[in-house]
Amino acid sequence: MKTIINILLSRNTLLKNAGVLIICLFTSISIAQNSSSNAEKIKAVFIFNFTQFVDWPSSSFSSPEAPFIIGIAGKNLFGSYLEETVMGEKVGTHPIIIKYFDEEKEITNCHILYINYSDDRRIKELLSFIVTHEILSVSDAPNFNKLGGIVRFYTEQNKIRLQINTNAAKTAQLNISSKLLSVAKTK
Amino acid sequence: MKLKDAPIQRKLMSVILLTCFVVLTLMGSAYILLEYISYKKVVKSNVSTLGTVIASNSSASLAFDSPADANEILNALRAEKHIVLACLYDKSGKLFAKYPSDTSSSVFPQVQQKNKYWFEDGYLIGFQPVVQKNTELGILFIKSDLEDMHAQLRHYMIIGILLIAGSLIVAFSLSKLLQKSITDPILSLEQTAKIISQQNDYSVRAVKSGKDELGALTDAFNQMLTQIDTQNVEIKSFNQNLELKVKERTYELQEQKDFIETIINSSVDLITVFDKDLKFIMLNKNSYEYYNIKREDILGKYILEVLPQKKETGMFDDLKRALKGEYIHNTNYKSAISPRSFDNYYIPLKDVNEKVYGVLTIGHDITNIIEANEKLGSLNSELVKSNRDLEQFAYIASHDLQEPLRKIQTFTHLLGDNYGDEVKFKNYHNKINQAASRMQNLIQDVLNFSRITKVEEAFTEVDLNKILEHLKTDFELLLQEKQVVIHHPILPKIMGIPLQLTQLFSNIISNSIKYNEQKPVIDIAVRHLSKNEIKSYPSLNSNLTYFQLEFKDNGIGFEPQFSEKIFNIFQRLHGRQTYSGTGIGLALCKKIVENHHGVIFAQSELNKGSIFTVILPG
Repeated sequence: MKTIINILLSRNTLLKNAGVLIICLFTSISIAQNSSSNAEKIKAVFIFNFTQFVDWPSSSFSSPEAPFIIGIAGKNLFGSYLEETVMGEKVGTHPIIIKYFDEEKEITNCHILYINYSDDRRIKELLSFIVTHEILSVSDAPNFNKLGGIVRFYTEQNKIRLQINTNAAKTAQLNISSKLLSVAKTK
Repeated sequence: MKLKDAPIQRKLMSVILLTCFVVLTLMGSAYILLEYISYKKVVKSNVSTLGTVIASNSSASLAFDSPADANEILNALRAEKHIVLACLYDKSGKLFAKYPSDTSSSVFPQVQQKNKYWFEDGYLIGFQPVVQKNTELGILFIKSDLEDMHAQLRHYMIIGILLIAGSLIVAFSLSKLLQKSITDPILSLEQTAKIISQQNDYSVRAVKSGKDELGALTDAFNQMLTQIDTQNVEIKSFNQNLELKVKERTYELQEQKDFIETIINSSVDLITVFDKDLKFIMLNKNSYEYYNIKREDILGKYILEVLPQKKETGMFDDLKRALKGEYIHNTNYKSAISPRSFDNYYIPLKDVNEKVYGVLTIGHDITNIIEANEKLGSLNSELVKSNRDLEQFAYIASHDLQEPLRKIQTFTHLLGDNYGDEVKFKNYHNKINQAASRMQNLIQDVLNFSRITKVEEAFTEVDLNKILEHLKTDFELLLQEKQVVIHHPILPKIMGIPLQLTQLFSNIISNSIKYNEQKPVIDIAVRHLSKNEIKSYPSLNSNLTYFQLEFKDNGIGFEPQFSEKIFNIFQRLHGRQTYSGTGIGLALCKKIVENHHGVIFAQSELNKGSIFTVILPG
C-alpha cells in the first residue's frame, strides 16, 4: 500500500502537491500546541525543516542515491508522525528515511539524530561517540547544549523554540544557515 | 479670424509654432511614456528583488514558527518608504506576519497568484513564494506605492512643458526673423499689386528679391503687367473707336427712330400697338389726343382696364381675332368713345416663327366721308327729284303751256281770216283772252312752285289758328256762295314759314271745295303722334315730336290707286272742262310739307270723300 502511494506521489506532481497540502493540514492542526502530541508533531516538522537549513558535507553520503537518515535514539515520541512528514521527501538527491537505533554502534550512520534520553550522562556518552561524525544532534534535554548537543528544543511562551550550540555544529562539520541561527538561541 | 483669411505672416508663424508644438509634444509624450514604461519595469524589478530578499530571509522564521522574527524581518521594510503593505502567509495560507505590524488583518488579501507582480489601482502588488532549498514554506505579499514614479513623471512633465514653452518662444523669435525672407517679397509683391489696383497704374513694377519661386513669381507678375499695359493701350484705342462707332450708330438709330416716330405721330390715323395680352405698347400722338389720356395712364395697361367700353364694341373681338393671326379690316367702326366712325385695320404682328406677338391697329377717321356721303345721297335724291320735276316741267312746257298758245294761234288765224266780222271777232277775242289768262295762271303757278323749291326762308313760330282765320276771310265770298262748313279744334303753334303754311292750308281747303258736288263740309282734326307711330314713318326723326292734322271732306274723292300720283306736278285726274286747275296745287303742298320736314298723304275712295293727312314737327 505504501509503495503504491509512493509511486503515485513521485510520478504525479499534482498528487504530490495534494500530499503536501494534506501534510500542511496536519501541520496547521499541530500548531495549536496544547497537547503533548501536538508538540511532538511540531518537533517532527522542525526536524524535517532542519534538512533545509543545514548543509551536510557530501562525504557523509556514500553515493548520490544514498538515503538521508533521520535517526531516533531512545523512545520514539513521534509515533508515525515523523515518518509521515518525511515520506517521499528528499534532501538534494537523497531520499529521507527514519531509523530507530537501539545500539549505539549503529548510530554513527545517520544525519540527524533525535536523542530521547533522560539521563544526561547517557546523552554525553552518546554525544562523545558521535562527535566526530557529521550528525546534527537534536534533543529536548535541558542541558543538551552544555553536554555538547547541537540543537535543543525548549518551550517558551507555549512555543517550541530552538537553542543551537554552534561550536558543536562546527565540530560536526555542519554548516547551519544563518537564517536558522537567527530564529534560534545560540548560547 | 480664420487661419484661411489671416495674413501670410501669421499663417507662417502659426504653421511653424504649431509644427514645433506638435513635434515637441509628441516627443515629450513619447519620452515620458517610455520613461513610464521603463520606470514601471524598474519599480517592478526593485520590488520583486526586495520581495525575493525578504522572502529568502523569512524562510527560517516560517520554517520554525517564529512570527516575531518574521515581523522583525518585515519591519526592515521601513527603510523602503514606498512599501506600504507586506505580509507573510504560512504554508496553509494563514497570515503569519504583517507589516506594518499594527495593520488590521482584513487589509491583507487572500493568497492569489504565486510569484507574480502586477500594477493595480496605482500600486504595485506582488506575491513571492518563500522557498528554502526546494521546499516552499509560505508566501510573501508585498504592496508598493508608485509615488516615486509619479513624482518622477510629474517632474518630467513639468520639464517637458517648460521645454516646449521655451522652444516655442525660441521658435517664435527665430521664425519671426527668418520668415522675413519669405514674407517680405510676398508683402512687397502684394503692396505693388495694391498700388496697381488702386491707382490703375500698370507701369509700376515689382522689385525682385531673389532667384527662388517668389523671384520667378515676381518676374511673371512683372511680365504680366507689361502685357496688361500693352493690352490696355490697345483696348483703350479700341474702346475709343468703339465708342465713336456706338455714338454714330446711336445717333443714326435715334435719327431713324425720330424719323419713324415723327411719321407715326404725324399720321392723322389712330395708330396703336397691343402686346399679346392686349396691353397697350405704343400709341401715336393722335391716339393720345383722341383718348385724351397720358402716356403713363395707358402704356402697359390692359385695354379693358383703360377703356372698358371697348368690350361692347366690335373692337375687342376684332383684336382677339387678330391675335389669332387674322388680318381684319372693319370698314365702318362706330366708336364708343366719340360719335365718330372709323375705318379700322387690325394687323397681327408676327415674329420670324410666324407667331403673333402683338396687334397693330390703324383707325382712319371716316366720319367726314360718311357725312359727306350722306349729304351726297340726299343731294342726289333731291337731284333725282328735281330731274323728275324738270321732266314734268318739260312736259307741261311741251303740252300744257303749248295748249293755250296753240289756241291763241288758232284763234288769231281765224281772226285774220274773218277780219270785219264783229260777232266772230268778239268770240275769237274772248277765246284768245281766256287762253292768255289761263297761260298766265299756269306761269304763275309754275313760278310759285319753283320759288318754294328754291327759296329757303327762316322758320318762325306760326299760329295755325291765325292762318285758318286769314283763309276764311280771303275765301269769305266763295265760302258763302258754296255754303261751306269748316269744323276745327284749336290748332297748335309750330315752327315754319307762314306764307308756305298758308298756301298749304289754302290748297287743301280749296281742293275740298272745288272737287265737291254738294255743300262742302270740312272736318279738321289734330293729335300728337306716339313714338311708335313716328317710327312707322321712315322719313321722320324719332327724336322729335310730331302732330298730325287731318283734313276730311265730303267731296268727290278719287280712286285709291291715285293716292300718290295726285301729288305729282301737273297731275290731273279730271278734264279741264269739268274742274279748273293747273295740276300744281298738291305738288306744291307736298313740297311745302317736305320743306317743313313732314309727311303728307291722302286716303280716299271714289265719291266717298277724301282725307288729307299732314304730319308736321312741333
